[in-house]
Amino acid sequence: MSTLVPRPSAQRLRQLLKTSCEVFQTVYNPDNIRNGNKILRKKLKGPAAISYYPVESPVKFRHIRAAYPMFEFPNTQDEHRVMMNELRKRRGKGPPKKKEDTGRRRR
Amino acid sequence: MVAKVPTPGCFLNTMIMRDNFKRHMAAEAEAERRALKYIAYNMTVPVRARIQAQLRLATMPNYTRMNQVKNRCVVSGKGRAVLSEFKMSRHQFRMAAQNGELPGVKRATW
Repeated sequence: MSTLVPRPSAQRLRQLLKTSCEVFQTVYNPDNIRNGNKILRKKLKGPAAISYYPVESPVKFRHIRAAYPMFEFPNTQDEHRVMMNELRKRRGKGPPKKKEDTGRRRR
Repeated sequence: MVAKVPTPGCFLNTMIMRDNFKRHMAAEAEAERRALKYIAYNMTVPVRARIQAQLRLATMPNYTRMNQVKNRCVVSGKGRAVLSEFKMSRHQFRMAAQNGELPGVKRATW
């Protein structure tokens, strides 16, 4: 059966492709020329990258302490730090004493 | 780092600050970089423009490159072994999971 119907010419097929692209709103590029559209097609990942680290809260621990002076808010992290420093001092691992600077200079 | 960038609200250390800066700078320049890359790849554009675009792309500062952005652990600042679903490195993830702080995460048995 295929021998009875002649195959359309290349030009006709191109016209068909062009109309088809117009109808379905696709890009017409029959020779597959590299026009860089694939780079424009990709989504931008800027906003996703920025939102990785959480936003800094405008309200800090010291603000809550100042806003409610009648309540006692224990600063557990700082208390822990102070406790560790005291233990170190007890063991003799505290900061060394500052040498007095007499202002003598070596020649 | 001249540009001001919002400080993250998680654990802070130098590497996290640097990575945060890179993220903001890369996001700012992303549209420009994308456009330049398009010009450089487009064969229907005159060769001179393509070369210029490529040169411009190469001379853009490194902190505008999305490649340089690295997912860091939000709790410890570690850059390796970070699970992106939890934004934590493997040890922090393990500690949090065993404390029950991660919803739906339990030891795998099957």
